[in-house]
Amino acid sequence: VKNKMRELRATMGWSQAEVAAMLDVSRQSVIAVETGKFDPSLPLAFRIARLFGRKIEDVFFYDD
Amino acid sequence: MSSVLDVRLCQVYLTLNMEADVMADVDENLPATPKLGLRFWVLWWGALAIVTAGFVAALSVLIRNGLWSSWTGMLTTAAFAVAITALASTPALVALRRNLGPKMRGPHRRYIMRFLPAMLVYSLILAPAITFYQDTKPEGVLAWVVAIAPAAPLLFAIRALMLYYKEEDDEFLKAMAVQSHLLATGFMMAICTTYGFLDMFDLVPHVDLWAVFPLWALCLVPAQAITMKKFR
Repeated sequence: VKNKMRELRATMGWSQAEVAAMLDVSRQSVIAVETGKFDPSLPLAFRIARLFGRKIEDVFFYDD
Repeated sequence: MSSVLDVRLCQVYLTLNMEADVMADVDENLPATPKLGLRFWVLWWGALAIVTAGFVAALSVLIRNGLWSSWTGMLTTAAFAVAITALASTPALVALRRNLGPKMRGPHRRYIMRFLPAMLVYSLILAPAITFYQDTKPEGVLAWVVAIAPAAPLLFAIRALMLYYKEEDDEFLKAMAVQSHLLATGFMMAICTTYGFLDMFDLVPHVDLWAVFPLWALCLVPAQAITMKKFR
């Protein structure tokens, strides 16, 4: 699963640490999700999308 | 490793044609885990080598001179355990003091606060239990109590691990822990099964079953390295 989390985070001007604090996860989690090394659970994916004010399909997408 | 990752992240960032002022606001150059520097780790490994060598030398002197007893054994292992506990805590304390990286999360902190005291108690009980058993050859219930005594704190250490799986609410950290622990369990089973058959055919020295947990802890080192490489 790919995502646009990094672009969205940069647009908002948020650091990885700030996003991690807002989501109540570790910064390692933010890095792992952003780089596509770790696929978040559906609840966390919804929370990430909601944090950026987007629909989940605008943030995460399946890459064939 | 994470600094390389961060550099790569910055390169990706630049290719996305983001504005430079936005770039300045993000902290990609901060490592995901604290970087304590080469000097610190040289000193740390040096201290570990000195403490271990001191422990082995003390044991050797005690045994050779016939001074080994429950008390001298307990004092020696207690001193070693305190030194190892202090050394194990140093990286986190120094990182905290230098304000490097994120603060330790609650579940991990609770795990450490449960695991380290259990291991400290284990190291305090082990030598006296062995020496007492060899010196007095207890029987009946007392023999069972003496034999179980070193295992009891290890059960608390295992409980600390189980509680960590339950309490860790960061799904990435939990996945890292579970995967590395499963991998370590696989390594341990492979080693124990192979060694067990070699032992059965008298091809290798017999090893008692208590060695399984320390072996698992040793297997955790390559298991964690492999898991971290996969995710970072």
